[in-house]
Amino acid sequence: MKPLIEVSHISKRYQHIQALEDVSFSVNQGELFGIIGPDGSGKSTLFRILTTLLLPDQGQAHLNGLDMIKDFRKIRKCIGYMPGKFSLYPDLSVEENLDFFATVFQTSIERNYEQIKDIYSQLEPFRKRRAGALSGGMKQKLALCCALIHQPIVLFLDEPTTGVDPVSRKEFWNILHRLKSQHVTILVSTPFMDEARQCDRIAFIQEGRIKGIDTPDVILQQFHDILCPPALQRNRRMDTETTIIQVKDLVKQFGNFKAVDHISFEVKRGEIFGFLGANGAGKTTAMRMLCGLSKPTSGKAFVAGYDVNTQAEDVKKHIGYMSQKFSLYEDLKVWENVRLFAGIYGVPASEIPIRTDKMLQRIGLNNERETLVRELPLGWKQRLAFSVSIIHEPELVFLDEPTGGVDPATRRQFWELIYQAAERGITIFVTTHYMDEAEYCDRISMMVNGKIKAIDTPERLKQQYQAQNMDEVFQQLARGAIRKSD
Amino acid sequence: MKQFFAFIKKEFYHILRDTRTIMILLIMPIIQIILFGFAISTEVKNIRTLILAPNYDIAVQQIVDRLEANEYFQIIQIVHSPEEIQQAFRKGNVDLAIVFPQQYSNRIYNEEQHIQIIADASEPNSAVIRSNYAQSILAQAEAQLKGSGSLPTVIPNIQLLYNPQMKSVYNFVPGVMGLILMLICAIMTSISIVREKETGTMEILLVSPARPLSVILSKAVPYFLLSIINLTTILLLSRFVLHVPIAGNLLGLLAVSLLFILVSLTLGLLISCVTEKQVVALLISGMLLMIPTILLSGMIFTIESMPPVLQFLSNLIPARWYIELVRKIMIEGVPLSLLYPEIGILSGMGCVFMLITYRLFKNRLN
Repeated sequence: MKPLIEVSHISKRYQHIQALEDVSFSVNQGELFGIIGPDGSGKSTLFRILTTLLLPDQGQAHLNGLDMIKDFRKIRKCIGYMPGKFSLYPDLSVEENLDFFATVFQTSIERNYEQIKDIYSQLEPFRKRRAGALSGGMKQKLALCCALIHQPIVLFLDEPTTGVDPVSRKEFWNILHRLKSQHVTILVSTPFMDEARQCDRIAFIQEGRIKGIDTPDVILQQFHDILCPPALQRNRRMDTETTIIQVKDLVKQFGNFKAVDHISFEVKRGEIFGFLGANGAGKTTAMRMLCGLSKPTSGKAFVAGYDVNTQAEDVKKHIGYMSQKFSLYEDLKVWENVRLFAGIYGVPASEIPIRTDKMLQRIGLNNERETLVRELPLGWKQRLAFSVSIIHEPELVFLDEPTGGVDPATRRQFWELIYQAAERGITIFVTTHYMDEAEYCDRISMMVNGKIKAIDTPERLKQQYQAQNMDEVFQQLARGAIRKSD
Repeated sequence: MKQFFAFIKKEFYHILRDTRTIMILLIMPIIQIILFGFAISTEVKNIRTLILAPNYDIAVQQIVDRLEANEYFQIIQIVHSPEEIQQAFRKGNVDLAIVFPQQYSNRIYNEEQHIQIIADASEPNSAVIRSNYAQSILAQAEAQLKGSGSLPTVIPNIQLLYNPQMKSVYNFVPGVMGLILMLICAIMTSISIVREKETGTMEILLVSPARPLSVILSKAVPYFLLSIINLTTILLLSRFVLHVPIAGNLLGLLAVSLLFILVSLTLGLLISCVTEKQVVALLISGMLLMIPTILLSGMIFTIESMPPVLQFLSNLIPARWYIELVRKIMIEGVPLSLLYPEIGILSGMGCVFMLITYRLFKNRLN
């Protein structure tokens, strides 16, 4: 049988970056084909070339016998595409978005309702809600509906589940399997290995080159070091019993919606505390209150001994903070960023050079002192951002999804840094969607619909819920609750 | 065609749901017109005048009386030495000084006697207007003083056509029309297209079977309608609140306005083709359209008194031609048949912008 998609020797270069180099592969009709690789490895460029949005410098590609370059209009009629970015109109309602894309693709919701019924039935209760007000998982489902409405023969999904919680991810992939059984060919990229395992075949791409194409088992075996690094070992040093975060009956209410609903917990000094929850469960809101950025509606919280209600400024002085969105100034050099933030965090001027040297040495970026931050790979940036956030040696650091978009090996390196910081006595408070990272924590809390549903060590949680891994624990706790929160 | 309407519908949702922006767009013309109509004015009133008369005789008295009777002048002091004039100007509480020569009434029939007018020219335009007022009043008064016994002097009878009261609104209404239409059509259109590039929805639209050009054109439709609403508001306000007459053909005025709206829209589309970020689109339209439109279109500064380079540049600004057309049709009542050159230039600009846009527009990403 002739493959549905054939890509041969495609190369693409942006000014000084070789985005793709000599990429060749083929995808069969009805196949679920995964593309895995770290951020910046050329996945999105590949998707854009395949969806006729970009012209390759060299090489050619055919889809269903149509030439990617010459027959681009015909190809555009028979493919569905979800770009990496959130690609809906936030100010249109669910229904209006779908209706718009249906008309653009020369069809209507009524005519192709069967195609999307499974997914859309979950969205229908919210069809009047603006797309911008949906949770991450719901947005992606809606985007998938929009990409499916014209019954495409191929779906191109560029990291559809990045930033989506495990339960919604699982639902999303169930939908993909159903589509596969309806003979839709799917090309999907993902940073999650559990998702990669569900593909028929996967291609591992790194620095613009395809390193291997085979079944997931073979690829994960072949690139074991990068994709499935060994678990981290930690010598736990829970020396003290002093409490660094104490939260009692904390509430944050927006209108009549309780984003955080009477949560209480404690974090001990030196602990690595994982703060988990589905999208929209209230994690970010809770974290903002603890950092002194937002005032609680009621309840008490003490962070590093300061009351977040009345001493927000003192709280800020004693913590570090790093989020996925805020990292560093892209247009400053590495050392300039370090010096700037050290100054902002109040490190004495005489100590800044010493600490900078020590820190760059530790994270292996000494040779990159003079490099602009935007030229660093994402994994390096994350390590740098983390080290910068603790350059003033705070008692406590808040990390909000610090490892999005990088491969498992890079994430593991990041966690080594976290462990080092913890050994120096810094308490770590971290949110993540990666359940393998959850296992790295000393203790975990699970937030569901604004409440803390469970809080314990990973081992005891697994025992309690009779689960193999944290993913199963998460699924059991969050399932059913997500529907209500959306 | 159904697709095209779907696009337009979506565009209206965007605009109507962004309440703040739509309010600004609808209210701004009203505020501008009222501001320019009532608050900002180039008319010169209450000229604070100082009189220096070494001999305060009957002739001087008569002239001063005349000045005082005039609503534009306000005599604040009569002084006797030049030093006092200097002091008054220094303090900044005088706009104009009128200096009579020694023995004025005796020398009035004498050819070489001269009344001197000293004006504070730190605001040059007002200074000129003030001294011209003063001059004309002095000329009339002198003529009367000389009476029938003297040689007949030429007293010009000045008639100001089209705007006899020299109201500055007459000048500003066309200017504001040009400014507002340019703002809404060019800036808003370009930003709304670039926003889709930024959010990533443009990628999906490009991958769809929709013709990219119809994506772009559909963006222009709502702003076209919005500009027509604004045009109506401005015309109604200026006619019934500011009492600016519409001397010429109303239909002709609407026709050239539509033409200008189209030109501005294509300019907006052109900007959106060459930019990837909303901020850049905003800066380009602000720097390259708004500022030159305000400064070089003749809205505030007269084009004829600009240096040649700027005069040349002003020719390149669409708003300049539009404002000129509005002024001629609305204020002067010139028939359209005499305005073909301006209309031709404006249409030509529109065609050129359209052609460049079409050339630059890509079916793919960069």
